[in-house]
Amino acid sequence: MKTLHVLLTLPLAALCCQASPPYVERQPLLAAGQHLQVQAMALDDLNAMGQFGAAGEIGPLTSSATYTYDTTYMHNMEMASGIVPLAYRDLALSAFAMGRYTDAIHGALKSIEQAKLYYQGDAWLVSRALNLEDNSRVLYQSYLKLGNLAEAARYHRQFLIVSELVNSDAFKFLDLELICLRMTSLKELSNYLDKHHWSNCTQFWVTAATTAAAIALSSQGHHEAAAAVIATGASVVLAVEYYKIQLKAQHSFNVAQLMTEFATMANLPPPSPQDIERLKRSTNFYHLAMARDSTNAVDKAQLQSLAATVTQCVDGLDEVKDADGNYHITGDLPALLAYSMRLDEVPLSLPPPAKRQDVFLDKYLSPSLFRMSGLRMTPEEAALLKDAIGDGKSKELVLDLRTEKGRELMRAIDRIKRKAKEGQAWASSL
Amino acid sequence: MGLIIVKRWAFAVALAWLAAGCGGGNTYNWPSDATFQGRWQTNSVIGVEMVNDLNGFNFADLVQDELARLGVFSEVYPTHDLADPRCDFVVRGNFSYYLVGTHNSGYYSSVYLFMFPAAFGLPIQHMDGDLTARFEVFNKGTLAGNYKYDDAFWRENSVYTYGMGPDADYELRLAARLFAQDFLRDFYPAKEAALK
Repeated sequence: MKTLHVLLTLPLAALCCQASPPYVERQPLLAAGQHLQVQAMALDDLNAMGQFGAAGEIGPLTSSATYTYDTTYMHNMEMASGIVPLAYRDLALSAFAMGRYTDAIHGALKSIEQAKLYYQGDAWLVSRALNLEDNSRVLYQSYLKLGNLAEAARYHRQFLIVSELVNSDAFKFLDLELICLRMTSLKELSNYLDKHHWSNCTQFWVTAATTAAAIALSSQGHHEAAAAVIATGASVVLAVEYYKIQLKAQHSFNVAQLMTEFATMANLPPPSPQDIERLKRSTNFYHLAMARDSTNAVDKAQLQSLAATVTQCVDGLDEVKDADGNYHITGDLPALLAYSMRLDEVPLSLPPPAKRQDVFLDKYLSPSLFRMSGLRMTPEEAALLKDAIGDGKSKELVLDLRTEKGRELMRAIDRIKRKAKEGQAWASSL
Repeated sequence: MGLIIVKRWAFAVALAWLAAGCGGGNTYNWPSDATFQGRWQTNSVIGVEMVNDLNGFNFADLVQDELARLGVFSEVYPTHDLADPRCDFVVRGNFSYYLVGTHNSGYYSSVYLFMFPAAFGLPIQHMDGDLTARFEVFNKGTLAGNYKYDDAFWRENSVYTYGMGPDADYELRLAARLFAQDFLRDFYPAKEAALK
């Protein structure tokens, strides 16, 4: 019986550790232009899932055409949820590539419809958005090819909105969380199966050794001793079985709880004015200003004058490309470097706040100040520029962008330009 | 002489066994330099703004370097201005990447056989990863194109190649090449057609 169990466990293990779902296997075929094969595989998945009856229901053990997923693990749940929506999406993609635009539209619309069922709730927001991005692209391109400009424009707008969403920082934060969960889930299942199989193996050999010993003892007429050996062997097997139950509990992955946490993250409210004020008060610029004696702080007029000087230096730069592809940057480079370094110090030497701190927070700690501080020159950049400008008399820099040094210098000058722009915006708003 | 042949066979079998232990694959094939240089030669200047990963680290240098290596653009330029007057097109991108190693069914099977198959080079580790890269192309500050590449990659490792796997640099360079291929196809079709 135990041998049978082991023999059954091996193929199950092979299924459980399978990390590439069928829709991942379809991607190379799509890239290689084997569209008929993609369609056949996608249709297999749709048939196996019984898509019209399932209607978004994912059981604890879900099978596609070729794989079985233990959906108590998050990564398997993610794969199983994607079987139907992604099968339709791949049908749409392959139909579009073959020039069957009506089929492509049908597939994309079905994929969006099924994604609403299988990727329900905020927990699957990332998957739903990614699916919508792919399908709205197919839809607008297909309608365009069919000459239906009104529908094409509608879906193009949808595509641009979704595309902007998936490129946003907030979306990346969610995507990162989802990837972390997926990796943890994969590792957790792997570690569990590792210990589970070692336990199985132990049980197998204990059973085999017990049986062999019992047979040997019985054949010699030591029936009591044989019974004692069987009892000991059985208790060891039971102890290991108990360990396996504990193991399962230790390595279980509470998908429902994780998804609730993920949904909470997806539903973060927009920041209130108090959140922004709290953020500003937590910065070192604020703390330095609070601790500063008013006598050594730069005043508003000095700040505005400094920002104007740096802007003047930047405006005075002239950039010309020669026949060899080198860039000649001319202007008062030593002054630009010196004033730029002084501008770097400004966020760290703000005047101390007066009694009305909210005015200070609004006026001085504005987004421009933070952007300006973000463009502070690094010691490496400063050293590189000093080295390039030389003894302070050089009025021209020759940059070859084919070299690493040339690119670094160009990047440093670009950052100074942007910093001057932010500094000017900040100083003029004081 | 016979002994040498036997040894060669043994060596070949050993090599084949080890090679089988470190197989892998990618969604996309690597577009070679010849793919680009024979078909496109533009006088365009391309700017690369930012190519951030999910943590916000900028990999623009790497994409810039890969685009420059293709040898089809007259210049590839680092910029922070989507409407940079020096550039014909400015590229902005972002990508997500992960790689995770787990035991595979070879390992679980070896457990029942005293790990002998693993010791002899049976694949026991499955490396699984994905890079999803998005590129936006801007022409004088206006969004002109939008590209996405979802590259899944995997690798089976034996005990002799344990832990070896694809790296983010290679995958991002691959995505940059795929992007360049599609971008050139979309924006320079006449030149491609003329060379056919």
